[in-house]
Amino acid sequence: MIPVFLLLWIGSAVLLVREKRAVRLIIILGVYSLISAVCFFLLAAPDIAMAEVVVSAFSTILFIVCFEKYYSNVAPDRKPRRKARAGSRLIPLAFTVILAAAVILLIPEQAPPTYLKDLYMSRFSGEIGGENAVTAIYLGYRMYDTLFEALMLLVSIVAVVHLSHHDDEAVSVETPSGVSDSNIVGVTIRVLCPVLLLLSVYLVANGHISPGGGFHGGVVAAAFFVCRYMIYGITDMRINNVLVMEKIVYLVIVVFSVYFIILGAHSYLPIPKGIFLTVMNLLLGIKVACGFFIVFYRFIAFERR
Amino acid sequence: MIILLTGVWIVLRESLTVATAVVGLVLSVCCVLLSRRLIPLAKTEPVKPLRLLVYLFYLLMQIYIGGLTSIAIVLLGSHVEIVEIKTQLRNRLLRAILVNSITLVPGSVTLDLTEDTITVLWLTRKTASSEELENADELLKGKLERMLMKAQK
Amino acid sequence: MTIAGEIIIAAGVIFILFGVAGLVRFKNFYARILVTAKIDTVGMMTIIIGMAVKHGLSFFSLKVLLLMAALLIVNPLASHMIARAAWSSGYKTDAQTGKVKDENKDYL
Repeated sequence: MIPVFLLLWIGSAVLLVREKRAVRLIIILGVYSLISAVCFFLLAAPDIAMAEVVVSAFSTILFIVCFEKYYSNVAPDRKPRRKARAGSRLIPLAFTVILAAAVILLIPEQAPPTYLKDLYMSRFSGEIGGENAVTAIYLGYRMYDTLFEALMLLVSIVAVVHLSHHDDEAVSVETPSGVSDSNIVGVTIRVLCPVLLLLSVYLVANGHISPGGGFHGGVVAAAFFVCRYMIYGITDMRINNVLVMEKIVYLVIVVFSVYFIILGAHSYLPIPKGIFLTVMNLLLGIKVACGFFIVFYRFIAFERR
Repeated sequence: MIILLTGVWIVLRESLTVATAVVGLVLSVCCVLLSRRLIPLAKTEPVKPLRLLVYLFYLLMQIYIGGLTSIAIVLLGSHVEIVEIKTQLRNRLLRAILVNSITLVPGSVTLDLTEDTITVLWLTRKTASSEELENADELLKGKLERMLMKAQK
Repeated sequence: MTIAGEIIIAAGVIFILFGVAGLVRFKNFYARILVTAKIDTVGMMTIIIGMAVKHGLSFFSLKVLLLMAALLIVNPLASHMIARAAWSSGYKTDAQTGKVKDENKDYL
């Protein structure tokens, strides 16, 4: 049964490429995402299927709203509205029902084989080091994944920086958050800020032992700057250094990981595995913290009017 | 503050050895210095920490009493008011603690804090008599404020 | 020890149940903010204390109590900011009795 769905997938992709009208394109994109989510699920990758569903639902609605907003007064080819035929509601409904029925009927009886999981769980301590299997996977066995995820974060931050509207002058350096520094929020969060820093250091340093890791530590470090914004305002920090630093850190990550993992240097270099994991987590944490700080700064400083 | 942070580090790392304590001390000092440097604010006046600990337990008791009262009010009849009360605390940190405690105790949420007037959103019984309105001062914050006054140095 | 912890957790769940009942019952925003603040504080505190009691004196309990301390600091702040945003935008408190606190202060 799976080849049927694959053919459906290819068919909808072909339709997508050949379609020229914008509104139909959006709808066909939604259908394509639905079919691809089903195919991911059937090919034993449910996590990607979930991600695809969420992203496609959100983005389809966003496309429709934006389209409505910007092109509602420029519609030269819009015919006058016909009455909706009785069949035009029925076809999508039938399609969805058939798809759902096929998916439910095709759920395999037994669990998929877990040989990979057993392999990882039994060998990760010795090969990669540390006690946290997730860290071993994203820093050792699936390093390509991590590299491309970091790259994706970098690209999205570049997109945010260049696509957000701004005049050439920045916002004036008052306290833009509207809260003066002698009120409840400021005094209370001041107590919490050192704890946030300590927590991010702990998450990064302990990523290979307990739940945590570079990504989480980076996010908490960015949260520290959000707190600073709430107390004092953030527009006085220089952002260009942070932008450059993020890209440099990404380069260091790529070089480091390629040298150690892909070229197999860790088998003969006298760096203990714990150090490698901690350094990678630290680099990832710095990169993520810079990235989220830039996004937050961009949204605050240049989008407020 | 530094002692507190070292304790936090020890708890997080789940080990009670000298090495962990030393590392925790160093890191706590770094974090406190870094946050003081990155967030320039005037320092608050000192308070007595032991009284604050006693205050914490008292606050927990008040939270539960307030919770039960608020359940009774929700079941019987409720009425939302906005009252303004005055506070006599001069310490900025203690004032913030008082305001947060008013919000913590179920049935009241602080709305604003100007120089010494607190605006509070309050949940009372349906027929709010006038003497209750005058007593709002005492009911909302009386005991809390007295405990906090003792914590001023 | 574990039974005492479980009883406390059950009591916390009952608190949350009452809070949700109040949430469904009230229609006004301000009343709902009050009830939500109550659920966050009292309910979570009870559950966390119950969990700490259930596991006895160990690092797990200390971590969980640390979490409770963080909650005690942050939760009232969040409720306060939400309520204050509504208040300073001129939201009315009680439409029927006409008790309108409608000061449109401009907080940027």
